[in-house]
Amino acid sequence: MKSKPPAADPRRAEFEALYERHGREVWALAYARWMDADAALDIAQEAFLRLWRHWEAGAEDLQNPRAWLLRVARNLAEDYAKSAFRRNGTTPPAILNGVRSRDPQPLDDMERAEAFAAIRSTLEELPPGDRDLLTLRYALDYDAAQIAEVLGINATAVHMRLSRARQRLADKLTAQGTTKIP
Amino acid sequence: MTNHPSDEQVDRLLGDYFKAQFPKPWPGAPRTDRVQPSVARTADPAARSRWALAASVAVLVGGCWYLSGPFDGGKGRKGVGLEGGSADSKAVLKALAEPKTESKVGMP
Repeated sequence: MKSKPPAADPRRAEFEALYERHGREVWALAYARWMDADAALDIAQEAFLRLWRHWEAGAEDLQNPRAWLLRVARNLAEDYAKSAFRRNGTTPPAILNGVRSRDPQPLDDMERAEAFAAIRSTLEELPPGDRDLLTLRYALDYDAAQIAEVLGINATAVHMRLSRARQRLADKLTAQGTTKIP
Repeated sequence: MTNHPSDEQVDRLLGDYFKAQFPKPWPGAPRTDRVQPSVARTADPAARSRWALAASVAVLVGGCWYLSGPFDGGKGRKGVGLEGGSADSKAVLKALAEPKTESKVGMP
């Protein structure tokens, strides 16, 4: 796939098409890094804006904009740690025990929120590569072949790592007493 | 004691969790008009300033030139220059030659 920016409107159309095609993947990888949906969305949008600026600057054509976007998103996700630390101290402020503080949960959602918090903290203990797999598998419903394509690994490895990650997760959730979401 | 969840239960747990985290509705592509530089900006961002500076200098020079009075052909304005003030004017010489004037002004 070749990305070549022509005049203004076709370029915007191509930009939107790329966003529609790959935006969720970019979000998923950013989410897997921080387990924070809002931050992941910010990172995904910033990655796409950088693609636009890249076009505007008249830089060389991107042979594989998807790979470029995923790489930029990963770098941005790493930088996010530093910026969040600089702005807010040691912990990102929008997260409180895995529940996004911007969306206060009503009382009847508390059990669900607690279950999510337990899953989230368990996911955080997994290696980042496993979180990538799980996020692509469960947030985007990707099969092993699609995950392999995004991550640049082979499908057999995806199967093995997914199975292992699921098993590890099940053990931890069992130990915590979380086996279902209310 | 808690039972170990089956694969299906783990699938359902993770599915519910990640689906809940996923932004709904998925937002549109970010706006690019804020970051789209115009053609003029890419050509020369200081062109406007340069034109303003050139116009200011032109007005200043033109103003000075006008005030110094060169617009009447270089002769200056009436009553200001040395017009009619040449030393060989007959009227002046006659006045100087009258006897009541004792000074030697104008005599060779």
